Amino acid sequence: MKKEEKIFRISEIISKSLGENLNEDEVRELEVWLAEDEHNRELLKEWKSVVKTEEKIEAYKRLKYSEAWENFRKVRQEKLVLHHRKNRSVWLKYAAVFVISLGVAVVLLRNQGEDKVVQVAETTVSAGRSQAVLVLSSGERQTLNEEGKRIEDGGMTIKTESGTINYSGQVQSEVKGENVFHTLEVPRGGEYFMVLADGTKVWLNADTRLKYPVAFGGGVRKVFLEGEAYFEVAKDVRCMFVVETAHARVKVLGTSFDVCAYEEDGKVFTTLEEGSVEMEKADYTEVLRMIPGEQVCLIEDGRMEKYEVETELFTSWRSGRLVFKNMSLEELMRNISRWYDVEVKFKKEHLKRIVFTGDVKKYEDLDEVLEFVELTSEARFMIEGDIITVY
Amino acid sequence: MKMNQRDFLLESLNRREERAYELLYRYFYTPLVLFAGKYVGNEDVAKDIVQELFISLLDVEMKFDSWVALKVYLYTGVKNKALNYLRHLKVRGQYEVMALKEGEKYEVFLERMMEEDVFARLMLVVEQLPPQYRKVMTLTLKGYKISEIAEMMGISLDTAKEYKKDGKKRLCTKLNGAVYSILVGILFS
Repeated sequence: MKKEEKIFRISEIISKSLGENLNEDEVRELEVWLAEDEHNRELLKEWKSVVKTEEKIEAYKRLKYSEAWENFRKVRQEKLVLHHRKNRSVWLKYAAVFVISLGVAVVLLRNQGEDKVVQVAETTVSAGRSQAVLVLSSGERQTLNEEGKRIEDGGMTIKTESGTINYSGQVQSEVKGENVFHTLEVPRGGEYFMVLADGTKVWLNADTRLKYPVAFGGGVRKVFLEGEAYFEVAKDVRCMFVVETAHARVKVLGTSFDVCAYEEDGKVFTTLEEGSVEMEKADYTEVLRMIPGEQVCLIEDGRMEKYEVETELFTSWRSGRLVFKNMSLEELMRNISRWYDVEVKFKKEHLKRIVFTGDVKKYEDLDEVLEFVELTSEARFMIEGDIITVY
Repeated sequence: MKMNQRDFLLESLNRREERAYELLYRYFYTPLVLFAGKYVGNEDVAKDIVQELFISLLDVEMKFDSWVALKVYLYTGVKNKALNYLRHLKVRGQYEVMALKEGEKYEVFLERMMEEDVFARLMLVVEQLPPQYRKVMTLTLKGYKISEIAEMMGISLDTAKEYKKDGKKRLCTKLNGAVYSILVGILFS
Protein backbone atom coordinates (compact mmCIF):
# COMPACT_ATOMS: atom_id res chain seq x y z
CA MET A 1 0.00 0.00 0.00
CA LYS A 2 2.86 2.38 0.74
CA LYS A 3 3.81 2.89 -2.89
CA GLU A 4 0.21 3.54 -3.92
CA GLU A 5 -0.29 6.00 -1.11
CA LYS A 6 2.73 7.88 -2.32
CA ILE A 7 1.38 7.94 -5.86
CA PHE A 8 -1.86 9.53 -4.72
CA ARG A 9 0.00 11.91 -2.45
CA ILE A 10 2.21 13.16 -5.28
CA SER A 11 -0.81 13.54 -7.51
CA GLU A 12 -2.50 15.67 -4.93
CA ILE A 13 0.51 17.91 -4.67
CA ILE A 14 0.66 18.36 -8.42
CA SER A 15 -2.96 19.42 -8.48
CA LYS A 16 -2.43 21.75 -5.59
CA SER A 17 0.44 23.42 -7.35
CA LEU A 18 -2.09 25.15 -9.56
CA GLY A 19 -3.63 26.80 -6.58
CA GLU A 20 -0.25 28.46 -5.96
CA ASN A 21 -0.25 27.51 -2.35
CA LEU A 22 2.33 24.74 -2.08
CA ASN A 23 4.37 24.89 1.05
CA GLU A 24 8.07 24.16 1.02
CA ASP A 25 7.67 20.50 1.91
CA GLU A 26 5.24 19.94 -0.92
CA VAL A 27 7.46 21.65 -3.46
CA ARG A 28 10.31 19.43 -2.35
CA GLU A 29 8.22 16.26 -2.55
CA LEU A 30 7.07 17.14 -6.05
CA GLU A 31 10.60 17.85 -7.23
CA VAL A 32 11.80 14.59 -5.78
CA TRP A 33 9.09 12.71 -7.67
CA LEU A 34 9.86 14.39 -11.00
CA ALA A 35 13.57 13.88 -10.51
CA GLU A 36 13.09 10.24 -9.58
CA ASP A 37 12.58 9.24 -13.16
CA GLU A 38 12.61 11.02 -16.48
CA HIS A 39 9.60 8.87 -17.29
CA ASN A 40 7.46 10.77 -14.81
CA ARG A 41 7.81 13.95 -16.86
CA GLU A 42 6.87 12.04 -20.01
CA LEU A 43 3.76 10.68 -18.36
CA LEU A 44 2.61 14.13 -17.41
CA LYS A 45 3.24 15.40 -20.92
CA GLU A 46 1.28 12.53 -22.45
CA TRP A 47 -1.72 13.08 -20.21
CA LYS A 48 -1.80 16.74 -21.10
CA SER A 49 -1.91 16.10 -24.83
CA VAL A 50 -5.06 16.88 -26.81
CA VAL A 51 -4.93 13.46 -28.46
CA LYS A 52 -5.15 11.72 -25.10
CA THR A 53 -7.92 13.98 -23.87
CA GLU A 54 -9.99 13.50 -26.97
CA GLU A 55 -9.57 9.74 -26.73
CA LYS A 56 -10.88 9.84 -23.16
CA ILE A 57 -13.82 12.07 -23.93
CA GLU A 58 -14.93 9.71 -26.68
CA ALA A 59 -14.46 6.71 -24.39
CA TYR A 60 -16.54 8.28 -21.61
CA LYS A 61 -19.31 9.04 -24.06
CA ARG A 62 -19.29 5.46 -25.25
CA LEU A 63 -19.01 3.66 -21.92
CA LYS A 64 -22.03 4.39 -19.78
CA TYR A 65 -22.46 2.46 -16.60
CA SER A 66 -26.26 2.25 -16.55
CA GLU A 67 -26.64 -1.11 -18.27
CA ALA A 68 -23.95 -2.80 -16.18
CA TRP A 69 -25.47 -1.27 -13.07
CA GLU A 70 -28.95 -2.60 -13.82
CA ASN A 71 -27.49 -6.04 -14.31
CA PHE A 72 -25.57 -5.80 -11.03
CA ARG A 73 -28.68 -4.63 -9.19
CA LYS A 74 -30.62 -7.68 -10.34
CA VAL A 75 -27.88 -10.05 -9.26
CA ARG A 76 -27.69 -8.32 -5.90
CA GLN A 77 -31.42 -8.53 -5.31
CA GLU A 78 -31.48 -12.20 -6.13
CA LYS A 79 -28.72 -12.79 -3.62
CA LEU A 80 -30.48 -10.63 -1.03
CA VAL A 81 -33.78 -12.40 -1.36
CA LEU A 82 -32.08 -15.76 -1.18
CA HIS A 83 -30.50 -14.59 2.04
CA HIS A 84 -33.75 -13.25 3.39
CA ARG A 85 -35.49 -16.49 2.77
CA LYS A 86 -33.35 -18.01 5.47
CA ASN A 87 -35.08 -15.86 8.00
CA ARG A 88 -38.50 -14.98 6.78
CA SER A 89 -39.61 -13.31 9.98
CA VAL A 90 -37.23 -10.43 9.56
CA TRP A 91 -37.99 -9.90 5.91
CA LEU A 92 -40.40 -7.04 6.32
CA LYS A 93 -38.02 -5.27 8.64
CA TYR A 94 -35.37 -5.40 5.95
CA ALA A 95 -37.83 -4.15 3.43
CA ALA A 96 -38.41 -1.12 5.55
CA VAL A 97 -34.73 -0.36 5.87
CA PHE A 98 -33.60 -0.86 2.30
CA VAL A 99 -35.25 0.30 -0.84
CA ILE A 100 -36.39 -2.89 -2.41
CA SER A 101 -38.44 -3.57 -5.45
CA LEU A 102 -39.57 -7.13 -5.69
CA GLY A 103 -42.17 -9.06 -7.47
CA VAL A 104 -43.80 -11.35 -4.98
CA ALA A 105 -46.72 -13.61 -5.33
CA VAL A 106 -47.19 -16.18 -2.67
CA VAL A 107 -45.46 -17.85 0.17
CA LEU A 108 -46.97 -21.23 0.57
CA LEU A 109 -46.67 -22.88 3.87
CA ARG A 110 -45.76 -26.48 4.19
CA ASN A 111 -48.68 -28.84 3.95
CA GLN A 112 -49.76 -30.42 7.16
CA GLY A 113 -50.70 -33.58 5.31
CA GLU A 114 -49.66 -37.01 6.53
CA ASP A 115 -48.87 -38.21 3.03
CA LYS A 116 -45.32 -36.99 3.25
CA VAL A 117 -42.67 -39.26 4.65
CA VAL A 118 -39.44 -37.50 5.31
CA GLN A 119 -36.43 -39.71 5.15
CA VAL A 120 -33.86 -37.85 7.16
CA ALA A 121 -31.27 -40.56 6.87
CA GLU A 122 -31.21 -40.35 3.12
CA THR A 123 -29.49 -37.02 2.85
CA THR A 124 -26.62 -35.45 4.72
CA VAL A 125 -26.11 -31.83 3.76
CA SER A 126 -24.71 -28.80 5.47
CA ALA A 127 -27.24 -26.11 6.35
CA GLY A 128 -28.39 -23.56 3.84
CA ARG A 129 -26.39 -24.93 0.94
CA SER A 130 -27.68 -24.81 -2.60
CA GLN A 131 -28.50 -28.47 -2.98
CA ALA A 132 -31.25 -30.30 -4.70
CA VAL A 133 -32.12 -33.44 -6.56
CA LEU A 134 -33.64 -33.12 -10.00
CA VAL A 135 -35.97 -35.94 -11.01
CA LEU A 136 -36.25 -36.19 -14.79
CA SER A 137 -39.30 -37.35 -16.71
CA SER A 138 -37.78 -40.82 -16.91
CA GLY A 139 -37.49 -41.00 -13.14
CA GLU A 140 -33.72 -40.65 -13.29
CA ARG A 141 -32.29 -38.66 -10.35
CA GLN A 142 -29.56 -36.03 -10.79
CA THR A 143 -27.89 -34.37 -7.83
CA LEU A 144 -27.44 -30.62 -8.26
CA ASN A 145 -24.87 -28.72 -6.27
CA GLU A 146 -22.60 -25.70 -6.71
CA GLU A 147 -20.96 -27.18 -9.77
CA GLY A 148 -22.48 -26.62 -13.17
CA LYS A 149 -24.07 -29.49 -15.09
CA ARG A 150 -25.68 -30.13 -18.44
CA ILE A 151 -28.87 -32.11 -18.35
CA GLU A 152 -30.66 -33.43 -21.41
CA ASP A 153 -34.30 -34.37 -21.34
CA GLY A 154 -37.41 -33.95 -23.43
CA GLY A 155 -35.42 -32.77 -26.41
CA MET A 156 -33.75 -29.89 -24.60
CA THR A 157 -30.54 -29.16 -22.78
CA ILE A 158 -30.71 -27.44 -19.42
CA LYS A 159 -27.66 -25.93 -17.85
CA THR A 160 -27.21 -25.55 -14.11
CA GLU A 161 -24.63 -23.32 -12.53
CA SER A 162 -23.67 -22.07 -9.07
CA GLY A 163 -26.77 -23.27 -7.30
CA THR A 164 -29.43 -22.36 -9.85
CA ILE A 165 -31.24 -24.04 -12.66
CA ASN A 166 -32.70 -21.99 -15.47
CA TYR A 167 -35.36 -23.17 -17.92
CA SER A 168 -36.02 -19.82 -19.50
CA GLY A 169 -34.63 -18.90 -22.87
CA GLN A 170 -34.24 -22.53 -23.89
CA VAL A 171 -34.97 -23.51 -27.43
CA GLN A 172 -37.45 -26.33 -27.52
CA SER A 173 -40.49 -27.67 -29.22
CA GLU A 174 -43.27 -26.37 -26.99
CA VAL A 175 -45.71 -29.17 -27.57
CA LYS A 176 -43.20 -31.62 -26.29
CA GLY A 177 -41.90 -29.59 -23.34
CA GLU A 178 -45.29 -28.99 -21.84
CA ASN A 179 -45.79 -32.68 -21.28
CA VAL A 180 -42.33 -33.29 -19.87
CA PHE A 181 -42.31 -32.80 -16.13
CA HIS A 182 -39.34 -32.34 -13.83
CA THR A 183 -39.41 -32.41 -10.06
CA LEU A 184 -36.95 -30.45 -8.02
CA GLU A 185 -36.45 -31.86 -4.54
CA VAL A 186 -34.69 -29.79 -1.95
CA PRO A 187 -33.57 -31.80 1.10
CA ARG A 188 -33.75 -30.68 4.71
CA GLY A 189 -31.07 -28.10 5.33
CA GLY A 190 -30.94 -27.12 1.68
CA GLU A 191 -32.38 -24.36 -0.43
CA TYR A 192 -32.46 -23.64 -4.14
CA PHE A 193 -33.20 -20.89 -6.61
CA MET A 194 -34.61 -21.62 -10.03
CA VAL A 195 -36.12 -19.91 -13.03
CA LEU A 196 -39.03 -21.60 -14.78
CA ALA A 197 -39.47 -21.65 -18.54
CA ASP A 198 -41.65 -18.52 -18.47
CA GLY A 199 -39.08 -16.56 -16.44
CA THR A 200 -40.87 -16.95 -13.11
CA LYS A 201 -38.36 -17.03 -10.27
CA VAL A 202 -38.79 -19.53 -7.50
CA TRP A 203 -36.93 -19.78 -4.25
CA LEU A 204 -37.40 -23.20 -2.67
CA ASN A 205 -36.99 -23.66 1.02
CA ALA A 206 -35.68 -26.76 2.75
CA ASP A 207 -37.64 -30.00 2.55
CA THR A 208 -39.62 -28.97 -0.50
CA ARG A 209 -40.68 -30.55 -3.78
CA LEU A 210 -41.78 -28.64 -6.87
CA LYS A 211 -43.07 -30.33 -10.00
CA TYR A 212 -43.30 -28.33 -13.21
CA PRO A 213 -43.27 -28.76 -16.99
CA VAL A 214 -39.93 -27.96 -18.65
CA ALA A 215 -41.86 -25.67 -20.98
CA PHE A 216 -45.26 -24.04 -20.69
CA GLY A 217 -47.86 -24.36 -23.41
CA GLY A 218 -50.36 -21.67 -24.24
CA GLY A 219 -52.79 -22.27 -21.39
CA VAL A 220 -52.60 -22.09 -17.63
CA ARG A 221 -49.12 -22.21 -16.14
CA LYS A 222 -49.44 -24.84 -13.46
CA VAL A 223 -46.90 -26.16 -10.97
CA PHE A 224 -47.27 -28.53 -8.02
CA LEU A 225 -45.80 -27.78 -4.64
CA GLU A 226 -45.14 -29.63 -1.42
CA GLY A 227 -43.31 -27.59 1.19
CA GLU A 228 -42.48 -23.94 0.96
CA ALA A 229 -41.52 -21.71 -1.92
CA TYR A 230 -41.39 -18.07 -2.79
CA PHE A 231 -42.53 -17.05 -6.25
CA GLU A 232 -41.82 -14.01 -8.32
CA VAL A 233 -44.29 -14.61 -11.07
CA ALA A 234 -43.39 -13.46 -14.57
CA LYS A 235 -46.15 -11.31 -15.96
CA ASP A 236 -48.32 -12.90 -18.59
CA VAL A 237 -51.86 -11.61 -18.48
CA ARG A 238 -53.05 -14.28 -20.91
CA CYS A 239 -51.80 -17.25 -18.90
CA MET A 240 -52.71 -17.52 -15.27
CA PHE A 241 -50.07 -18.95 -12.99
CA VAL A 242 -51.41 -21.61 -10.66
CA VAL A 243 -49.71 -23.28 -7.77
CA GLU A 244 -51.40 -26.53 -6.81
CA THR A 245 -50.94 -27.96 -3.37
CA ALA A 246 -52.64 -30.81 -1.57
CA HIS A 247 -55.22 -28.62 0.15
CA ALA A 248 -55.31 -25.36 -1.74
CA ARG A 249 -54.74 -23.66 -5.00
CA VAL A 250 -53.19 -20.26 -5.48
CA LYS A 251 -53.89 -18.31 -8.62
CA VAL A 252 -51.90 -15.34 -9.76
CA LEU A 253 -51.36 -13.30 -12.86
CA GLY A 254 -48.10 -11.83 -11.67
CA THR A 255 -47.43 -9.47 -8.84
CA SER A 256 -45.17 -6.52 -8.56
CA PHE A 257 -44.97 -3.78 -6.03
CA ASP A 258 -42.69 -1.05 -4.86
CA VAL A 259 -41.44 -0.26 -1.37
CA CYS A 260 -40.15 3.20 -0.78
CA ALA A 261 -38.48 3.79 2.58
CA TYR A 262 -36.08 6.72 2.53
CA GLU A 263 -35.02 7.77 6.01
CA GLU A 264 -35.31 11.46 5.17
CA ASP A 265 -38.91 11.11 4.03
CA GLY A 266 -39.85 9.67 7.40
CA LYS A 267 -42.34 7.20 5.98
CA VAL A 268 -42.65 3.90 4.16
CA PHE A 269 -44.71 3.48 1.01
CA THR A 270 -45.78 0.31 -0.68
CA THR A 271 -47.28 0.67 -4.13
CA LEU A 272 -48.92 -2.31 -5.73
CA GLU A 273 -48.97 -2.58 -9.49
CA GLU A 274 -50.46 -6.00 -10.01
CA GLY A 275 -51.68 -8.94 -7.99
CA SER A 276 -52.34 -8.83 -4.31
CA VAL A 277 -50.12 -8.12 -1.37
CA GLU A 278 -50.30 -7.24 2.28
CA MET A 279 -48.25 -4.69 4.10
CA GLU A 280 -47.59 -5.53 7.69
CA LYS A 281 -45.89 -3.50 10.35
CA ALA A 282 -42.56 -4.89 11.49
CA ASP A 283 -44.06 -5.59 14.91
CA TYR A 284 -47.03 -7.46 13.39
CA THR A 285 -49.60 -5.15 15.01
CA GLU A 286 -51.38 -4.17 11.83
CA VAL A 287 -51.94 -5.59 8.36
CA LEU A 288 -53.52 -4.02 5.31
CA ARG A 289 -54.44 -5.97 2.22
CA MET A 290 -53.97 -4.13 -1.02
CA ILE A 291 -55.43 -4.28 -4.48
CA PRO A 292 -53.65 -3.05 -7.63
CA GLY A 293 -53.36 0.69 -7.92
CA GLU A 294 -53.32 1.14 -4.18
CA GLN A 295 -50.63 2.56 -2.05
CA VAL A 296 -50.21 2.01 1.66
CA CYS A 297 -48.23 4.55 3.58
CA LEU A 298 -46.78 4.02 7.04
CA ILE A 299 -46.34 7.47 8.55
CA GLU A 300 -43.92 8.57 11.25
CA ASP A 301 -46.49 8.41 14.03
CA GLY A 302 -47.16 4.74 13.19
CA ARG A 303 -50.44 5.20 11.35
CA MET A 304 -51.01 3.25 8.12
CA GLU A 305 -53.07 4.88 5.41
CA LYS A 306 -54.33 3.61 2.08
CA TYR A 307 -54.68 5.67 -1.11
CA GLU A 308 -55.48 5.13 -4.74
CA VAL A 309 -52.58 6.24 -6.91
CA GLU A 310 -51.22 6.19 -10.43
CA THR A 311 -48.67 3.48 -9.77
CA GLU A 312 -46.38 4.44 -12.63
CA LEU A 313 -45.53 7.60 -10.77
CA PHE A 314 -44.00 5.48 -8.02
CA THR A 315 -42.48 2.59 -9.90
CA SER A 316 -41.01 4.22 -12.99
CA TRP A 317 -37.64 4.68 -11.29
CA ARG A 318 -36.98 0.97 -11.78
CA SER A 319 -36.69 1.48 -15.50
CA GLY A 320 -34.39 4.45 -14.98
CA ARG A 321 -37.12 7.06 -15.48
CA LEU A 322 -38.88 9.63 -13.45
CA VAL A 323 -42.46 10.25 -14.43
CA PHE A 324 -43.98 13.15 -12.59
CA LYS A 325 -47.37 14.76 -12.67
CA ASN A 326 -48.00 18.04 -10.97
CA MET A 327 -44.89 17.44 -8.92
CA SER A 328 -43.60 20.39 -6.96
CA LEU A 329 -40.13 21.65 -7.77
CA GLU A 330 -39.18 20.84 -4.18
CA GLU A 331 -40.06 17.17 -4.62
CA LEU A 332 -38.54 17.02 -8.09
CA MET A 333 -35.27 18.39 -6.76
CA ARG A 334 -35.35 15.91 -3.88
CA ASN A 335 -35.41 13.11 -6.44
CA ILE A 336 -32.67 14.75 -8.46
CA SER A 337 -30.55 15.11 -5.36
CA ARG A 338 -30.83 11.36 -4.66
CA TRP A 339 -30.12 10.37 -8.21
CA TYR A 340 -27.15 12.57 -8.86
CA ASP A 341 -25.83 12.73 -5.32
CA VAL A 342 -26.04 16.49 -5.12
CA GLU A 343 -27.33 18.87 -2.50
CA VAL A 344 -30.11 21.24 -3.47
CA LYS A 345 -30.63 24.67 -1.96
CA PHE A 346 -33.51 27.02 -2.59
CA LYS A 347 -32.80 30.75 -2.39
CA LYS A 348 -36.48 31.68 -2.71
CA GLU A 349 -39.17 29.76 -0.83
CA HIS A 350 -41.92 30.31 -3.40
CA LEU A 351 -39.94 28.47 -6.11
CA LYS A 352 -40.47 25.21 -4.21
CA ARG A 353 -44.16 25.32 -4.99
CA ILE A 354 -43.96 25.56 -8.78
CA VAL A 355 -45.36 22.34 -10.26
CA PHE A 356 -44.23 20.36 -13.28
CA THR A 357 -45.38 17.43 -15.35
CA GLY A 358 -43.00 15.36 -17.42
CA ASP A 359 -41.03 12.18 -18.00
CA VAL A 360 -37.24 12.08 -17.89
CA LYS A 361 -34.47 9.54 -18.03
CA LYS A 362 -32.43 9.06 -14.95
CA TYR A 363 -28.93 8.81 -16.24
CA GLU A 364 -28.65 11.20 -19.12
CA ASP A 365 -31.09 13.98 -18.83
CA LEU A 366 -30.20 16.12 -15.83
CA ASP A 367 -29.27 18.93 -18.17
CA GLU A 368 -32.51 18.55 -20.04
CA VAL A 369 -34.60 18.60 -16.88
CA LEU A 370 -32.85 21.69 -15.65
CA GLU A 371 -33.05 23.34 -19.05
CA PHE A 372 -36.74 22.47 -19.27
CA VAL A 373 -37.41 23.91 -15.85
CA GLU A 374 -35.46 27.05 -16.71
CA LEU A 375 -37.40 27.44 -19.93
CA THR A 376 -40.84 27.02 -18.45
CA SER A 377 -40.50 28.85 -15.20
CA GLU A 378 -38.70 31.66 -13.49
CA ALA A 379 -36.41 29.22 -11.63
CA ARG A 380 -32.69 29.32 -12.47
CA PHE A 381 -29.95 26.93 -11.45
CA MET A 382 -26.38 27.38 -10.33
CA ILE A 383 -24.20 24.32 -9.95
CA GLU A 384 -21.24 24.78 -7.66
CA GLY A 385 -19.49 21.49 -7.04
CA ASP A 386 -22.06 19.22 -5.45
CA ILE A 387 -24.54 21.93 -4.66
CA ILE A 388 -27.34 23.02 -6.95
CA THR A 389 -28.76 26.36 -5.97
CA VAL A 390 -32.21 27.28 -7.21
CA TYR A 391 -32.65 31.03 -7.46
CA MET B 1 -15.72 14.58 -4.50
CA LYS B 2 -15.45 16.14 -1.11
CA MET B 3 -13.99 14.28 1.82
CA ASN B 4 -17.32 13.81 3.57
CA GLN B 5 -18.77 12.18 0.47
CA ARG B 6 -15.94 9.71 0.31
CA ASP B 7 -16.42 8.85 3.97
CA PHE B 8 -20.12 8.51 3.34
CA LEU B 9 -19.52 6.15 0.44
CA LEU B 10 -17.09 4.03 2.45
CA GLU B 11 -19.46 3.76 5.40
CA SER B 12 -22.37 3.00 3.17
CA LEU B 13 -20.34 0.40 1.30
CA ASN B 14 -19.28 -1.25 4.52
CA ARG B 15 -22.96 -1.49 5.39
CA ARG B 16 -23.44 -3.01 1.92
CA GLU B 17 -26.18 -0.60 0.88
CA GLU B 18 -27.48 -0.43 -2.68
CA ARG B 19 -26.74 3.25 -2.94
CA ALA B 20 -23.05 2.65 -2.28
CA TYR B 21 -22.79 0.18 -5.11
CA GLU B 22 -24.44 2.60 -7.47
CA LEU B 23 -21.92 5.26 -6.53
CA LEU B 24 -19.14 2.76 -7.15
CA TYR B 25 -20.47 2.28 -10.65
CA ARG B 26 -20.79 5.98 -11.19
CA TYR B 27 -17.28 6.77 -10.03
CA PHE B 28 -15.34 3.73 -11.16
CA TYR B 29 -17.08 1.79 -13.91
CA THR B 30 -15.78 3.70 -16.94
CA PRO B 31 -12.21 4.24 -15.69
CA LEU B 32 -11.96 0.59 -14.68
CA VAL B 33 -13.18 -0.61 -18.08
CA LEU B 34 -10.62 1.60 -19.80
CA PHE B 35 -7.98 0.37 -17.37
CA ALA B 36 -8.87 -3.29 -18.05
CA GLY B 37 -8.90 -2.54 -21.77
CA LYS B 38 -5.25 -1.52 -21.59
CA TYR B 39 -4.45 -5.03 -20.35
CA VAL B 40 -6.65 -7.18 -22.55
CA GLY B 41 -6.96 -4.96 -25.62
CA ASN B 42 -10.66 -5.67 -26.04
CA GLU B 43 -13.41 -3.50 -24.65
CA ASP B 44 -16.07 -6.22 -24.37
CA VAL B 45 -13.74 -8.45 -22.40
CA ALA B 46 -12.80 -5.44 -20.30
CA LYS B 47 -16.47 -4.80 -19.47
CA ASP B 48 -16.98 -8.42 -18.41
CA ILE B 49 -13.94 -8.29 -16.17
CA VAL B 50 -15.10 -5.15 -14.40
CA GLN B 51 -18.63 -6.50 -13.98
CA GLU B 52 -17.26 -9.72 -12.53
CA LEU B 53 -15.20 -7.79 -10.02
CA PHE B 54 -18.16 -5.68 -8.91
CA ILE B 55 -20.36 -8.73 -8.49
CA SER B 56 -17.64 -10.47 -6.50
CA LEU B 57 -17.87 -7.58 -4.02
CA LEU B 58 -21.25 -8.99 -2.98
CA ASP B 59 -19.67 -12.21 -1.80
CA VAL B 60 -16.63 -10.98 0.04
CA GLU B 61 -16.65 -9.66 3.56
CA MET B 62 -14.44 -6.63 3.05
CA LYS B 63 -14.25 -3.43 4.99
CA PHE B 64 -12.43 -0.51 3.43
CA ASP B 65 -10.97 1.90 5.91
CA SER B 66 -9.74 4.44 3.41
CA TRP B 67 -10.42 5.82 -0.01
CA VAL B 68 -6.96 4.80 -1.20
CA ALA B 69 -7.53 1.25 0.02
CA LEU B 70 -10.80 1.03 -1.92
CA LYS B 71 -9.26 2.33 -5.14
CA VAL B 72 -6.24 0.08 -4.88
CA TYR B 73 -8.51 -2.89 -4.20
CA LEU B 74 -10.59 -2.18 -7.31
CA TYR B 75 -7.69 -1.51 -9.66
CA THR B 76 -5.70 -4.47 -8.34
CA GLY B 77 -8.70 -6.76 -8.65
CA VAL B 78 -9.29 -5.74 -12.25
CA LYS B 79 -5.60 -6.11 -13.07
CA ASN B 80 -5.48 -9.63 -11.63
CA LYS B 81 -8.58 -10.72 -13.48
CA ALA B 82 -7.22 -9.25 -16.72
CA LEU B 83 -3.89 -11.03 -16.34
CA ASN B 84 -5.66 -14.28 -15.53
CA TYR B 85 -7.72 -13.86 -18.65
CA LEU B 86 -4.56 -13.47 -20.73
CA ARG B 87 -2.87 -16.43 -19.02
CA HIS B 88 -5.80 -18.73 -19.70
CA LEU B 89 -6.29 -17.87 -23.34
CA LYS B 90 -6.09 -21.06 -25.36
CA VAL B 91 -4.49 -19.33 -28.28
CA ARG B 92 -2.15 -16.50 -27.43
CA GLY B 93 -1.06 -14.32 -30.31
CA GLN B 94 1.89 -12.00 -30.36
CA TYR B 95 -0.21 -9.19 -28.97
CA GLU B 96 -1.35 -11.22 -25.96
CA VAL B 97 2.16 -12.43 -25.20
CA MET B 98 3.38 -8.86 -25.18
CA ALA B 99 0.36 -7.58 -23.25
CA LEU B 100 0.89 -10.20 -20.57
CA LYS B 101 4.59 -9.46 -20.22
CA GLU B 102 3.94 -5.73 -20.02
CA GLY B 103 0.96 -6.12 -17.72
CA GLU B 104 2.90 -8.04 -15.13
CA LYS B 105 5.11 -5.04 -14.40
CA TYR B 106 4.23 -3.21 -11.22
CA GLU B 107 5.26 0.23 -12.56
CA VAL B 108 2.92 -0.28 -15.49
CA PHE B 109 0.08 -0.96 -13.06
CA LEU B 110 0.78 2.26 -11.14
CA GLU B 111 0.98 4.33 -14.32
CA ARG B 112 -2.25 2.99 -15.72
CA MET B 113 -4.06 3.45 -12.42
CA MET B 114 -2.84 7.06 -12.18
CA GLU B 115 -3.91 7.83 -15.72
CA GLU B 116 -7.45 6.58 -15.26
CA ASP B 117 -7.71 8.32 -11.92
CA VAL B 118 -6.76 11.62 -13.51
CA PHE B 119 -9.38 11.42 -16.22
CA ALA B 120 -12.05 9.94 -13.98
CA ARG B 121 -11.86 13.05 -11.84
CA LEU B 122 -11.80 15.37 -14.79
CA MET B 123 -14.82 13.76 -16.45
CA LEU B 124 -16.82 13.67 -13.25
CA VAL B 125 -16.27 17.38 -12.81
CA VAL B 126 -17.07 18.22 -16.42
CA GLU B 127 -20.24 16.13 -16.20
CA GLN B 128 -21.45 18.11 -13.24
CA LEU B 129 -21.22 21.47 -15.00
CA PRO B 130 -24.40 23.08 -16.33
CA PRO B 131 -25.17 22.17 -19.94
CA GLN B 132 -23.85 25.24 -21.75
CA TYR B 133 -20.59 25.22 -19.79
CA ARG B 134 -20.20 21.53 -20.40
CA LYS B 135 -20.52 21.91 -24.15
CA VAL B 136 -17.95 24.68 -24.23
CA MET B 137 -15.58 22.70 -22.02
CA THR B 138 -15.91 19.47 -23.96
CA LEU B 139 -15.31 21.25 -27.25
CA THR B 140 -12.36 23.10 -25.77
CA LEU B 141 -10.93 19.81 -24.53
CA LYS B 142 -11.25 18.52 -28.05
CA GLY B 143 -9.09 21.36 -29.32
CA TYR B 144 -11.63 23.67 -30.97
CA LYS B 145 -10.96 27.40 -30.99
CA ILE B 146 -13.33 29.58 -29.02
CA SER B 147 -14.54 31.31 -32.20
CA GLU B 148 -15.39 27.93 -33.74
CA ILE B 149 -17.20 26.89 -30.59
CA ALA B 150 -19.30 30.06 -30.62
CA GLU B 151 -20.32 29.36 -34.18
CA MET B 152 -21.10 25.69 -33.53
CA MET B 153 -23.27 26.53 -30.55
CA GLY B 154 -24.91 29.51 -32.21
CA ILE B 155 -23.93 31.92 -29.47
CA SER B 156 -21.95 35.14 -29.59
CA LEU B 157 -18.18 35.11 -29.20
CA ASP B 158 -18.42 37.10 -25.99
CA THR B 159 -20.89 34.66 -24.47
CA ALA B 160 -18.71 31.71 -25.42
CA LYS B 161 -15.70 33.40 -23.84
CA GLU B 162 -17.70 34.10 -20.73
CA TYR B 163 -18.78 30.44 -20.46
CA LYS B 164 -15.24 29.27 -20.93
CA LYS B 165 -13.83 31.64 -18.35
CA ASP B 166 -16.53 30.87 -15.82
CA GLY B 167 -16.42 27.15 -16.58
CA LYS B 168 -12.70 27.07 -16.04
CA LYS B 169 -13.12 28.83 -12.72
CA ARG B 170 -15.72 26.30 -11.64
CA LEU B 171 -13.52 23.42 -12.70
CA CYS B 172 -10.58 24.84 -10.76
CA THR B 173 -12.61 25.26 -7.60
CA LYS B 174 -13.97 21.80 -7.98
CA LEU B 175 -10.69 20.12 -8.76
CA ASN B 176 -8.73 21.74 -5.99
CA GLY B 177 -7.15 18.94 -4.02
CA ALA B 178 -8.01 16.48 -6.73
CA VAL B 179 -5.31 14.59 -8.49
CA TYR B 180 -4.87 16.50 -11.71
CA SER B 181 -6.26 19.94 -11.74
CA ILE B 182 -3.04 20.59 -13.58
CA LEU B 183 -4.88 19.50 -16.69
CA VAL B 184 -7.36 22.29 -16.34
CA GLY B 185 -4.63 24.87 -16.04
CA ILE B 186 -2.92 23.73 -19.18
CA LEU B 187 -5.84 22.79 -21.39
CA PHE B 188 -7.86 25.90 -20.79
CA SER B 189 -5.12 28.48 -20.71
